Amino acid sequence: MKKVSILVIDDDTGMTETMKDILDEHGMEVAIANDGYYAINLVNERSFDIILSDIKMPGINGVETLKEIKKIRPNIRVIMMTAYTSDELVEEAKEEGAYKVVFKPLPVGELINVIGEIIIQNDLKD
Amino acid sequence: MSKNIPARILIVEDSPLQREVLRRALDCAGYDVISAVDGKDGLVKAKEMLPELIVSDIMMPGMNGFELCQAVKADEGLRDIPLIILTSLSDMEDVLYGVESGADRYVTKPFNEKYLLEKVEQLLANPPINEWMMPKEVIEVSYSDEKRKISASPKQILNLLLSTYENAAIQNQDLIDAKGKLEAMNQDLTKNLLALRLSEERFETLVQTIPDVVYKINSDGEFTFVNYAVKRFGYEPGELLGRHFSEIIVPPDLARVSRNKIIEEIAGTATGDKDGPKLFDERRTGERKTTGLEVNLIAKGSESKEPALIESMGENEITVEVNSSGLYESNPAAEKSNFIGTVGVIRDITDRKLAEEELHRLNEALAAKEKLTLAGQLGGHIAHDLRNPIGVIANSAYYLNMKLKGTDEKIGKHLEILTHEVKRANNIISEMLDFYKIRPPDFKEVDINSLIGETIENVSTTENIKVTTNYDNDLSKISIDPDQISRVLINLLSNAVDAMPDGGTLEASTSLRRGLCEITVSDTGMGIPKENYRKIFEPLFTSKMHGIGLGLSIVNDLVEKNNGTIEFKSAEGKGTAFTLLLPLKREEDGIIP
Repeated sequence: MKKVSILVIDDDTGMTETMKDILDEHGMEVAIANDGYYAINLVNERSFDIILSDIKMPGINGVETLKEIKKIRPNIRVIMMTAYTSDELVEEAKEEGAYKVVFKPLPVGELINVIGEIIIQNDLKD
Repeated sequence: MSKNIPARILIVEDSPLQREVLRRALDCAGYDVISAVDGKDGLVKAKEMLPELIVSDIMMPGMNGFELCQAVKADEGLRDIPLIILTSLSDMEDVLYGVESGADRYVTKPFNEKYLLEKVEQLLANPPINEWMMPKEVIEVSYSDEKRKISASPKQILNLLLSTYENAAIQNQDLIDAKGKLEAMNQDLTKNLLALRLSEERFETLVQTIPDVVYKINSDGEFTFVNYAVKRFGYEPGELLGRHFSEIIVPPDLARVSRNKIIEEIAGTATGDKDGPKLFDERRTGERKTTGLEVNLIAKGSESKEPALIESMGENEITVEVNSSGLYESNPAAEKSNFIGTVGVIRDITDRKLAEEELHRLNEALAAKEKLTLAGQLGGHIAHDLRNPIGVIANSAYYLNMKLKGTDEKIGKHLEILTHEVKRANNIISEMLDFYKIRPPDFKEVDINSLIGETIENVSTTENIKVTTNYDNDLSKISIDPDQISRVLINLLSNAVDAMPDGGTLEASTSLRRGLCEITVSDTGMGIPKENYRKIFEPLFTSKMHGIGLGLSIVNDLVEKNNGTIEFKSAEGKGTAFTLLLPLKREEDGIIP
């Protein structure tokens, strides 16, 4: 059985580190990137089933990163995270093909549930 | 009388002043006047100068007027010279002597100048010829129980009587004139008096009409006048008269505004100080008088006052401003000016004080609002910055929980604490974020009773708290933002639970009050201390060990945004009841209950 591969993009290393360990523990293959450019490079190199990305980041933000990734791999499922419910970037992210936008603070358990739903719905387990 | 050669007239008068007055009168009329200082001098001058007329006084030292007259009439060279005797004719003796002396005319003193000149002119024009030769008769007269014999010619007597009558007529005319003048003066006086009375009445009306209290106290400090305005302090003007002013001043203020007390205090200090003491019984006048003295008076019977007013101003006390000045019998600048009391004006500045308090309160509210905004911004920033670290901690706790749950009892307990505290921190962050960005309400028609029921279910209570509800089923749907009002209710219900650590009753009720939906959340807890009444809706105010004091300020803000009001009643140790009043419909709907 092929492991579900996931790329976590967040400028907060504490966030990426903890997410990596948690998702590892849930049996996923996890890569992390602490900025948009690095993430785009990774996506250029290889494909991921799911990408989990923060919207607000220094350098290029989550939405711009999303656009680049979609150019490279249009079918990739991207979950965007934000603390700003009324952010115009949220609308933009949806328009640019974000699979789902979740709002912080979101307990990680619920985030795992969201990921689990995507895996089931898209039958990614093989 | 020849115009070319002025007639020579001899004046015999011992009084220099009278002599001069006579001399001038005759001099001005164009006569050649010579004068003598007494009878003897007169006789000598008459012989020397041979005047055409003699005017003589009676009372003179040495030779008096009668003696002079007799001497002149007895002298062959002089007897044709007409002689006028100046007499007061007040004494009968004068008249009798006059008749006997053979004087030609009598002019009464004080003489009427015009009359005297007339007589002089007549005598000069028609001198009595050889009158001295007229046969004299001895006439017996009696007066004052005394019989007297006088010798005089009938013409002399007639002349005397005519002079007397003429004199009387003149005096009578003078009297009539004087009477007329007096009457005119009297009329003027009456008119002035009336005008004065009218003026006084107008002044009194003015004083009585002005809304400020005008008072006058005597030098002992007792009221001698108070206008009707004093009724606003509950007194009748009459009842204060004679009473000492200190009786209407609240005791703590008395020492500050009473002259005796102040003078004792500042004895020896420099005077002339513009910021000198302000006194109710002021003695100074002008620039140094008392202006703007603020003092509290004791009001009598204040049933007309609103309860709120009494509460804020202290019962039966009115704050007033006094302007007063010393009152003196004459100009205070004069050396001998008697201090007779003080006049002053008392203005009720209770309303102004209340307005000032209201302003102060509004300023405080404004400051609170600013504090709220600042708190909101600060809170928002902090919440944002904290959100990620808390998220990371939450992740770590989650991870540790996955790996270590069940391995060790102690570790398990600490994992639970960690998870719980992270959740609480997250709640606080949510509260701050909510506060930072309260959105405009999204009005919906909501069954308020159901909303309250659902909300109560979501609030965790302890076992020792009994929850009761009392709904008014006539209340149908009201127009509110259900999320926002739910948050309000959660806040109020949680506060109620927190207020009853030892248990109690929590009651939520609804009712229709004056066309508004009334929601009450009450507890039987510890109550709110009075000193906190004004602060509880302020942001960052909290009496709880945990919490950041945003709850009620958010509540207040949300209620306001939903067009409602919130109030509370509390008694320490007994409990607190918060009451929300919400309109049934939005004002935009056009139906205002």
